[in-house]
Parts: sequence; C-alpha cells; structure tokens
Amino acid sequence: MKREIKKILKEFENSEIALLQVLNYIQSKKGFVDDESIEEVSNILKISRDEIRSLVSFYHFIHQEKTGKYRIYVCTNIPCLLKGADKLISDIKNFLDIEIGETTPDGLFSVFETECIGQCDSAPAIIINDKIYRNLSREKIKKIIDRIKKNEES
Amino acid sequence: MKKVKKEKRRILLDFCEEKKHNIENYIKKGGFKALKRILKELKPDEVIEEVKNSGLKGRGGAGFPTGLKWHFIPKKIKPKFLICNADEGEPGTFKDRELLEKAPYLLIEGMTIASYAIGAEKAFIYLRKEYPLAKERLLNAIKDSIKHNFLGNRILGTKFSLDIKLFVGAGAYICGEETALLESMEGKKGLPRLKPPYPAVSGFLGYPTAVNNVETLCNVPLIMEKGAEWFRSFGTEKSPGTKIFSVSGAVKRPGIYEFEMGKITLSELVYEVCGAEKIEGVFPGGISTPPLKHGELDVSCDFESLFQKGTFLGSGGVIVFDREIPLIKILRKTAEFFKNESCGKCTPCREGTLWLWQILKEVEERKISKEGLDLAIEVCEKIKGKCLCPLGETCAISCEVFIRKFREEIEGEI
Ligand SMILES: Cc1cc2nc3c(=O)[nH]c(=O)nc-3n(C[C@H](O)[C@H](O)[C@H](O)COP(=O)(O)O)c2cc1C
Ligand code: FES
Repeated sequence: MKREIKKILKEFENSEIALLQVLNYIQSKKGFVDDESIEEVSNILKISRDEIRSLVSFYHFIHQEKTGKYRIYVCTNIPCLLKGADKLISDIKNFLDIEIGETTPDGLFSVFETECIGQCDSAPAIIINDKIYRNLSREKIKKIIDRIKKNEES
Repeated sequence: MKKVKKEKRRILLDFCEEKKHNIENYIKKGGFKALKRILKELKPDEVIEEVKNSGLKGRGGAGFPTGLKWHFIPKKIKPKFLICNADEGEPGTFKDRELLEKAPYLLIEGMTIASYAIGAEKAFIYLRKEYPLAKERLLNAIKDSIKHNFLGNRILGTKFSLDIKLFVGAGAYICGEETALLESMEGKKGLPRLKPPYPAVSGFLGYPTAVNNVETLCNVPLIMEKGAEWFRSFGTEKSPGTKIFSVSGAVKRPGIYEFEMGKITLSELVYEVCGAEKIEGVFPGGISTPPLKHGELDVSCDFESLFQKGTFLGSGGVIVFDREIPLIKILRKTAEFFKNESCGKCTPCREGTLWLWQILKEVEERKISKEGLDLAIEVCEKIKGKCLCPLGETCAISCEVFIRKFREEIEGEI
C-alpha cells in the first residue's frame, strides 16, 4: 500500500491534491478506510488524522465501517424510481436477506442507496464496486448476484 | 402529427463513436486541425476573442458566457489552471457521460485550446466516481494524445506545453459546484466558497482558474475550426449553438439528443422525438429546475425561453414523469436528494432541506394531513435567498413550484 500511496503522491506532486485519490485507492483495495490506513496516510502525506477523517465521513463512496467485498449501490433517484427502483431494492434486500447499509454474514455483499449515477436512459441502474449494471429486472439482478456467489465459491 | 426535423444538426454527437473512439479516427474526422492552426497562427487573445464572438454560453447549468470567463483571467499571474467539470451530478443528466466515453479526444482538444487561450500549463478533469468507463477512455486518450504530441511537452513543436491530469471524485453532488470542486481538489471537504472572489481570479490553490463544463469545452474545437459565424448559424441570437439533452423517465425512447438551441419545443422533444404518451409533467434541466406541467410544454428549449416560463435550461436533463409512481413520492424524493447532498455549511440549507423532507415524508406516509403542504411551502420560503450557494435555493424553488402546480393531484393521492 505504501508504494501505491507514494506513486499517487508523485503523480499529483502535492499531498493535499493526492489525498482524495489515495483514499479512493484504499477504499477500492480494502472496502473501507480504517484507522490503521488513516494513520499510514497521515504519516506519508503529513496531513492530520482529523482532516483525513473529515473527508472519509464527507464522501459517499468512502466508508468508515467495514463493508462487503461487493458493494451494491442502487440508484434511487427519480428517473430510476419511475422505472421500478423501489421494487429492485426490495428484491435485492430479499435475495441477500439484509437491509440498506448492512453486510451479509459471509461478508460478501453490502447494499447502499445512491443518487443518480448518470444511467437514467437505462433505468433502473446500479453500481457494484466499479461496474455499472443497467436496465435491471428481478431476473437480471438475481443472475448477477448468483454469478458472483458462484464465482466466490469456486 | 407534425414531423420534427430530427436532430438534423448534430455537431457534437457526430464525434461520438460507439467503437472507433481512437485517436486515428478522430484525426480522420478533422480532429486536432483547429489546434494545429491555432498554435501556428493565433495569439491566445485572438482565441478568446473568437470564442467571445461565438456567443458560447456555459453548458454546466449557469449559462455564463465562456469567452468572457476566459477574458477575466488575469494575464500577469502565474500559474493558471483549467479545470474541466465532469462531475455531472444533476439527476437526470448523462450527456457529459456520452461525450466523455465516446468523444474523449474532442474534450482533450477543447481543453488544450482553452488552456492555450488562458495561459494554463496544467489542467485537470474532475471526473465523478460513478463513471468508470469514462475514466478508462480518458486515461487512454490522454496517453495517445501525448504520444501524438497534441498534449504534453512543447506541443507540435511550439513553446506551449500542457499536462492534463484526471482527478476522480468520491461521491458528492455539491462537488459539481465550481468552488466546492476546488476545495475537493485541494484535499478538503467539498464546501462551497463565498463568491467573490470568483475562480477566474482566485481559484485552484488561490491561482486564476477557469472551470468549464465538458460540453462547453467540446464546442471549442468546432468554433475554432469553423469560426464564430458558423457557430452563430445554429440556435438563436442569444443562445447560439446546439444543446445536448438527456431525456429519461416516462418516454418510449430515452437517450441523448442534440438540437439547435431554441429550435425545438419541449413538447416536440418529449412527445414526438421521445415518444411520451400520457404524462403529468417535466423537469426541463434536472430536478434543480422547477417542473412544468403537461400543458406548459410549448416552450422552446433555450436559456431565455425557459427562464421566461419560470424555470431553467439547467443541464438539459429532461425528466418526464407520469403517474406510474405517486407525485408526492417524486416531490419527497426531490427534497430528499437535496437533504442528502447539502454540504451542511450554511444553516438555511442544512436545516431547511431536512425539515422540508421530513414534512413531505409525513405527508406521503399520511401522518399529517394536506395542510402539511402549506407548511412545506413556508419552509421553502424561509430557505430562499438565504443560502451560501445555489443548492438550497434550487431545492426550495423546485419543491415550491412542484407543490403549487400539482397541489390538486397530490391532494387527490393523500
Ligand atoms: C449544486 C451545484 C452543482 C453543480 N454541478 C455541476 C456539474 O455537475 N457539472 C457542471 O459542469 N457544472 C455544475 N455546476 C455549475 C458549476 O458551478 C459551474 O457553473 C460550471 O462548471 C461552469 O462551467 P460552464 O461555464 O462551462 O458551464 C453546479 C452548480 C451547483 C450550484
Ligand atoms: S436516476 Fe438512476 S441513473 Fe439517473
């Protein structure tokens, strides 16, 4: 991790500018930004832990708490609502047997609501980690979840 | 039914490629011709003059004249920065996504010309986290542009150098507001700054900075290649050029459409082009712009005409809604969005959007009667005119107009 942080710092030349990119990197590697990472970032970038913490709580895609390996963000803005986002959320919650903001006991999935993700022409849409899924239906989302589960088993 | 001159004049979307979004194809289509000529023949001021003459207005929502913004950048202070705003967070808006993914070189050429005009040697693209494909395409386009020497050190053998870096956001609508965006890039929470000073004078790290939207910058190579006169042959006197609309919601053909400014009405766009049938209303430029009722759609899509109707062109994110879901839900969600995205810096916005949302939620859940709608309007009135940035203001106006226009229908629902 240290090496990657230093690489980002080198690219952006300035630790303040590099900070959010570093946090994005840690989020994608670990699934959340824990105290240990904050400590490390603070040491390398010479930015106070409190300042780093304030960013972690400000941005929606950076989590303070441990999340599942697959973070499902369901868009709940109006164009998606008009195309059944509410039903999609309840289907996802049912399939995984968790509520919004929770993680499955096996640590595989977390579900979050999110605002418009810019895919309104193919609503309803979701993001899983860094991947976009569009035009979803009950069947499609079930397939996607099942496929992830199967890949994880093998 | 009257036949609409369907997208006859696509000047930007013609550069969008499903598959061949590579540099060779862009060059084949005449790409980088403008940049070559400018670096050989024109002084920076002459570029600014041409863009001024074109009448191009910012496509990020506020509609500020682009040439004038560049003109305000002080000449003597160094360094200067150009930042492309690719945060596209306005609900119902996805036109920048299309350009970023399918015409990345058009944006890079636009950014390079803009940087030359204002004297910036460093530029950034502030890209929202939600656009991973755009990220991949942009990184690739930057790399290939450097390889071809359209970017990087001593571009095309001249003294002008430019470095473009990609800065990825982390999910916060407010970071699309230009000063919050600057704070975010400086490693802080995305809280808007008090204006003035404007970014043109004191922006990124306190230096002169031009912040421009993706679509705005994509127009620049075309203006510089074909001239301000040519650009003015599209659209209206006050709103020259074309506009890309993102249409979503209760229509048969949602998607991206480009039309000349002011040459199509909202009604033609929604019904004839996109195949809407029975609808209730439309947000013309994202949910930050007050909705129009189905009977009010006979209005030209340009900055001035929509303003006269009490709303805005905004981002061009046209959201069409019907009764598929209750109107009170659409209204509550509108307030909820701003409540979730309020940065918390100023009290009227932070508290006001929260109250508004709570009241509307209780109306929706039938916990309070329809008098709740009066209370909601009162809260809107208290928010208006008191916020640090437009976020709280747009929430209040949008929700208030929604209640006033759809009151009868909402009361019928609850
Ligand atoms: C709350 C809020 C969000 C905004 N979001 C965006 C955005 O996502 N993209 C954008 O280009 N402009 C956005 N803007 C407008 C910018 O502040 C700024 O006016 C624009 O980037 C300037 O570029 P232009 O002159 O090319 O339009 C937003 C403004 C506000 C108040
Ligand atoms: S509202 Fe869901 S993608 Fe835009």
